[in-house]
Amino acid sequence: MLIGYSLGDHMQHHRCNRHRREFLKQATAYAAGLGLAPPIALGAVAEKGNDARADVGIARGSNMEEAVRRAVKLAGGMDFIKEGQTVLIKPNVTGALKSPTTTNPEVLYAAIKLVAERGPKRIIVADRSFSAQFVETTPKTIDVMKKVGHLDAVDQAIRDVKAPVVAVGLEDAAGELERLGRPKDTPLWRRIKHDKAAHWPNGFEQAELLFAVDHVINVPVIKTHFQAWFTMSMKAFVGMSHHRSRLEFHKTWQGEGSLFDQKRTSGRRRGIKKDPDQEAKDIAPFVNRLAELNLGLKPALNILDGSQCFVFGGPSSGDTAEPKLIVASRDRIAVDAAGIAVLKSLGTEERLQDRSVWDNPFLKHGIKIGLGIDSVAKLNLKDEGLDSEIDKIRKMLN
Amino acid sequence: MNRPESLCQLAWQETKFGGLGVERDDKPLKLPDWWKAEDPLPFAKTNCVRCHLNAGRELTLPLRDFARSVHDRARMSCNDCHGGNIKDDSTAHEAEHHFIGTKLSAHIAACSKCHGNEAEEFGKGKHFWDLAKGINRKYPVCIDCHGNHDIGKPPADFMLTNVCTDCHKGFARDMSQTAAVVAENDRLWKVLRKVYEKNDVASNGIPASLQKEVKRIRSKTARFMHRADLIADDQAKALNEQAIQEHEKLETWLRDQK
Repeated sequence: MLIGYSLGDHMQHHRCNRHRREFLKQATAYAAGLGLAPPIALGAVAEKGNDARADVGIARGSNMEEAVRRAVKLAGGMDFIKEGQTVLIKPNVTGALKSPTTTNPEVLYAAIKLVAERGPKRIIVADRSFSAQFVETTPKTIDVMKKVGHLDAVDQAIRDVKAPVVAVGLEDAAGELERLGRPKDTPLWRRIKHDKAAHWPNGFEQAELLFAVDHVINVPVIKTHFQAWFTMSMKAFVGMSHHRSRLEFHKTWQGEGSLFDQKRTSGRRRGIKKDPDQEAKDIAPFVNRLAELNLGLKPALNILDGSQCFVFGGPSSGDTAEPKLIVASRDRIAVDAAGIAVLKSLGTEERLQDRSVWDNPFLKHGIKIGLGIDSVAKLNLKDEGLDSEIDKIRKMLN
Repeated sequence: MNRPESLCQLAWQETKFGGLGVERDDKPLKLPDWWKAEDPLPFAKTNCVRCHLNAGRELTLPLRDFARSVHDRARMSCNDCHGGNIKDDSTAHEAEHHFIGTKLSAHIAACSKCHGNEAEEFGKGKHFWDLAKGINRKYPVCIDCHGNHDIGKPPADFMLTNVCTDCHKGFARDMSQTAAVVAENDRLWKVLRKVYEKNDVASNGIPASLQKEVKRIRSKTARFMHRADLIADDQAKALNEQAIQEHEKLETWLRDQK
């Protein structure tokens, strides 16, 4: 019986294949019996306790591959991947626009190569792209991946290191699920309920494939976002979720916490005295929903692509900067905090620039629901190749 | 609640009579449930308007703010500033159609397409920062004072004085003449707001007999601001006397309307 199964319990064993596979076997049996993916009632927080520290690697290199390699090493490496396992790499494939809207193919290539060095059985590059029209007829993710250069990165990794890698859209993952031992007709999306997901009373749906692999590695871009203020590791979970859930938080305006009543104007004027507390309150219903999507699963590693960033506007248009660096951590709060510090060091929107990283409403809700560390004191920033710039980033981390 | 069906009809009436010379979209508009009956739609019903009406949150609010702004009254539409393709939804946001979205540095160039003289003066002043060097919000850009979507119809609590004091903490003390001109401009704006509310929303809002003089005073004030010039005492006095005169005329016009 799966009801009452704790993802927290599951996550404590997430490096242990035996536990995971037993769980999957149970889940599969349940799914086969009902013809549905199992709804998960998740009881515990999916992360470590608040006394834990987080290593964050931030690095630059002679090229992006070297930057990725260095940052990942500083963040603790990829020893969690054991030979013969399956790893899903989730780049940012939000829409058919190249970096910085989507992950730089050079960074994706480097991530595939690093994973391949650990001897996995299969590497799956997957995401679900979105459309401004919010419709089911959104372009196929695989077509978007082709347009933004991700398929080139996959092909290059196959050619260069014989990486056992494929690319797939999460909406077209039936074949991959079958290959991973799931019965034919296993639903592609799983409804997840979590007691800490207070803004999702009916739960949310995430791709079954994410739960069928041994590890998920998150490779989003460091960028500002016109709605969420910033988009990095936590926001990337939108791409793992079904359109129905995306539509729900984008378009459910009714009732308490209505998203539409949040802002009185679209204006960016100065001269209107801003109340930072009100500003945080306004954005809270939106970013709280986003943060809670992270309760479904925990990526084994987050690699933030800072080859090129949106520093104003975003996620699909805006002002860009090219810090050409990578930030990596296993902790989503820590990696996003460092990413915001990078944006602040470059010069960014006032709502990020003028506010402490730890006072960011999105990050604060992530901390509240236990997604990672809760203060700068627990963030262990290790750097390579940034020279004096690291001092500015460290200063911005407070 | 007196809404929906009449609102939809209103939308189509506005399509019929508004949007002169602007590309229009013939597909039906669907208003979001929360759209208030008293909130007008933009005159030009481009595909931008049709999609963004139901896109939600920050994607829809610009339409409400833009409606009856000075640019809306001039029958402009979103694409005049943001670029994009108004003939094909699927490529509406493509860079090949010069879509700039929320790119701050590109917006200044967009403003200067029509307001070239103002942009040139601003570019020479102390307030200018070259955004190609990076985002630095310590320096103001056009939208900080003028707004982006609601140009000509700022929120009720907007005051230019507050924009100045955002950075110049001793504004009234250190730049007293400039501060006096800005304060008088705020007072003039306050009465203009009442005039706009009274006057035909489709016109430029200011009574015809006063348009020329009000425009002259406001342009002169703006010129000082764009150049970030310090204003001499006699200049400030002369400008403020003229502003007060026009202020009184506008008050008289308002009284006559009752």
